[in-house]
Order: sequence, then structure tokens, then C-alpha cells
Amino acid sequence: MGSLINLGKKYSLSPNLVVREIEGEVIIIPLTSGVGDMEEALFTLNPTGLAIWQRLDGKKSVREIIQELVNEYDASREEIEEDVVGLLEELYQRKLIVEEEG
Amino acid sequence: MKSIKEREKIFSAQEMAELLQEVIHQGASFRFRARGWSMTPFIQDGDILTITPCPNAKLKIGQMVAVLEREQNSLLVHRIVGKKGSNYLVKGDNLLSPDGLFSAAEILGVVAKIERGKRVLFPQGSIRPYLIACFSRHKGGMSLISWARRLGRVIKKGRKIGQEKR
Repeated sequence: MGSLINLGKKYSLSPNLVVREIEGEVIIIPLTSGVGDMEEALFTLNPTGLAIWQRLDGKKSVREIIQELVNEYDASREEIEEDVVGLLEELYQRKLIVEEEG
Repeated sequence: MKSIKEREKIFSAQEMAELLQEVIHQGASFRFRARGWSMTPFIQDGDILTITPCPNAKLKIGQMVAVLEREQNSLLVHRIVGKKGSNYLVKGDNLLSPDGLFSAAEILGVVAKIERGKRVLFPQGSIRPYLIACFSRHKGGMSLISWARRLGRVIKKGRKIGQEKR
């Protein structure tokens, strides 16, 4: 089954969420159906996830994000691509990111 | 290793206040678990509350509202028990002293729903909450309400037993 994520596309954060750093941790609260639900849907990112999340500004393609991370971190391109695509798939399925037009 | 995971954390009252403000500021409602006994029996420890934004024009005496406690910036969910000018007097039903006067802008939202186990309660109406606010303002007032509730339950139980015997 193919990936939901297209390496040539750009993705940005959904407008329907609240992101807040609390005690050094990034907390993500989706606003599903107009409700920020602390009991059901609350997410946090590890350092790898945070490095990817911070680059989701809708201006860089997934391929460009992967290249930036390859330049910055001591890990193979394959490992980084797997992490990036894996995270973006999960974020996309949970509607925490949107695909940019064009 | 997954880069994103569902978060299990107990937030402090200050942290909860920060998150509520962010959510309400976006025009959304905020659903969370209440802690504490300051509003028993109407809000009990462990109840899940939904707070919705509320415009000034709709704030009324008797409504349960979310405000920021001034000294520690922690979240309080207490009741409007009076009004002075354009400010609202807020107090926990089980507390002896009020929290203070809050402007409409300082009232973050109102309690729209209370979930207790399988029950869902919608605080509605204006007369009953108003009467509760009147009792809440006075020392011993909430004890009267607690007794009235207990008496009500005894009467209800008595009627049920009576109906079963017929």
C-alpha cells in the first residue's frame, strides 16, 4: 500500500489545533469538532518529532525537509526519511497537518 | 520509535489554565477532568467538564464559570454569586470566602456540560442556579442545600418503594 505522504508536496500545521510548550514538552491539542479535549486526544512529540514538526511551515517540500535533517543530524538518509514519512503519515491521519495547494 | 504519542499527564492547575486560555481564545470549547471539592455537590472531583466561551451579555448569576485565580494563575471553576457594577462576584459553593470580583473579560468560559460516570448533566435554567448562588453567598447556605438534596433523595426513595409495593 502506498504512503499517504508525497515527498514532493508541502505540508503545514492544521489551523484546528493548540500547541503549547509545558515544562519543555510540546503538547498538541487537536480542536476536533470545536472541542479541545484533554481527556481523549492529547499528543506529545519526542525530540525527533519536534525537529520535524518545527519544519512544517508549508514552505518546504518533504524532500527538502529530509535533506535539511540529513545535513544537520548524524543519521542515514534512509533512517531520516523513514522517521519523517512515518511521522507525517501519523500526523496526516490524525488531521494535525494539511497538504498545501500547488 | 514513534515520534508522536498520546500524552498521559496530570497537569497542574496553572498548566490547565494556560491550555484552557489557548483553546478558548480559538473559539473552541475545553473538555477536562475537574479536581477538588470546592463545588461539591454540583461539580464533584473526577467529573469531566466542558467549558464553552461565553459573551458578556450572556453571563448570569448562578452560572458556573472558569476564571484564573489571581495569585497563582491557576484555573478555578466556581459560581457567579453576585454582580457589582459590571463585575461579577465569583465563589466556590463549598468555600467560605469568595474568589473576588472578575470582569467579563476575565471570565474565560461557562460550564456547558458535566459528565459523571455514565450521566451527562447540562446546567440549565436561570431560577435554580440563581437560588443556589443566593445560598452560596451565605455561611451555612450550602449546608442547607446539601440537607435539602438528601431529603429529596429520601423522599424519592420512599416513593419508589411505595410504588414497588403496590
